[in-house]
Amino acid sequence: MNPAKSILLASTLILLGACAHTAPNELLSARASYDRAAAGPANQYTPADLHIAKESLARAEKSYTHDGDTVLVRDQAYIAQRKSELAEVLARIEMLRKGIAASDQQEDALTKQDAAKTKAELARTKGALTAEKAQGAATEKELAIEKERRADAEKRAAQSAADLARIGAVKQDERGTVITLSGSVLFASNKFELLPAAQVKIGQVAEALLAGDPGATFVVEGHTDSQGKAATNQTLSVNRANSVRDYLVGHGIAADRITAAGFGSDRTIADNKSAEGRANNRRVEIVVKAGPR
Amino acid sequence: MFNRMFTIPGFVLAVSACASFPPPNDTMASSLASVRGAEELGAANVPQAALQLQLAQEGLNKAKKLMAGGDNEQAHYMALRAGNDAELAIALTRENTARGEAKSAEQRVDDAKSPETTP
Repeated sequence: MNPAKSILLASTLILLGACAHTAPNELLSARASYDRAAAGPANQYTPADLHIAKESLARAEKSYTHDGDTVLVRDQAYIAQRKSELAEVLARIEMLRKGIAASDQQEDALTKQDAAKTKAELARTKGALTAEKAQGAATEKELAIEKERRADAEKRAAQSAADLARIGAVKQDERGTVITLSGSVLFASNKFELLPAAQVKIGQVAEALLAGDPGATFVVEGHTDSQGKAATNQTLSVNRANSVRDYLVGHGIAADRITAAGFGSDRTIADNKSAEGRANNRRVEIVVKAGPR
Repeated sequence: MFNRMFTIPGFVLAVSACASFPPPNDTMASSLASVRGAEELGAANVPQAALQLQLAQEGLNKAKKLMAGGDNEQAHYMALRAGNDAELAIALTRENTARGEAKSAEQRVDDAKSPETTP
């Protein structure tokens, strides 16, 4: 054997030895891919696909052990690597699907929760509306009653005023409704006892007042003409006012609704120089003050 | 004479090898179906899957050439490689779709947690 042939043979043996101990890159990559897949979620989510990858890698390893680095081994290793990668991707897809299912479930629960909340709010609003409606109806009823009551009061007041107008002069001023009764009809000169005819008249006044506004209050005012002493006139006017008041109380007017006052000749309504004027100044006025509405 | 002695048995061996491995028609058809599937799913538009689809298409073309050249065994394994590339492209495309769906589902949950208030 010449030296050149010896060197070639030695080189060939060395290369063969190297090949026998160094696996092809495809097989190295396939091993790494499988190890990574087996340590990852594929083990849990896609065990069947991982098993296929494992068998594929085993075929490549067997071929390599048997034949060394061949095209077939490289092809088989390439395929095994893809199988491992596929198992990994399929595992990730499975994880994503589980995540989607969980999200859907959560969304469904939240939607139901929201619907229940809306329903409860609706029920509350409906309840409030019903209560408000009932309150409105009650207010309307109260208003109707009040309206009726006022109409009744006004009717009675009108009737009372008409009745009083038949008994004495009736006018309206800042004090209220004023019924003026002539003093000469009610009392004898310088007396404060009611004359019998006057009693009938005052009795009619009492009836008219009782039929009127039940909340009204009354003031009986006594007035005289300017003849005689002022002090005497004052006393006489007070006594006459009290006489009328007492008579009205005796005929059903509540005592706390009626007061009496005397003004002597201080508040004249006519000239005291004439007999007619003095006659008009001698009077009793019953002031009717309307009750609170 | 020496050359003839080695050439004739070599040719015979080669012919017998070709004859022993049948044309990988089934493997080719299966791989082609996988490549078509990946294309229809839109793997070309998904960056991760596009490379695998390209490898599959190239592998399938190589397999066709090998088969045409009579190298059926090589063609079979090349077609297998292409088929596996295409299957991976399909899976990567589906993963991309699932990822989008998962994101949408999470967004819906967030929306349900804090619904928009009407002014």
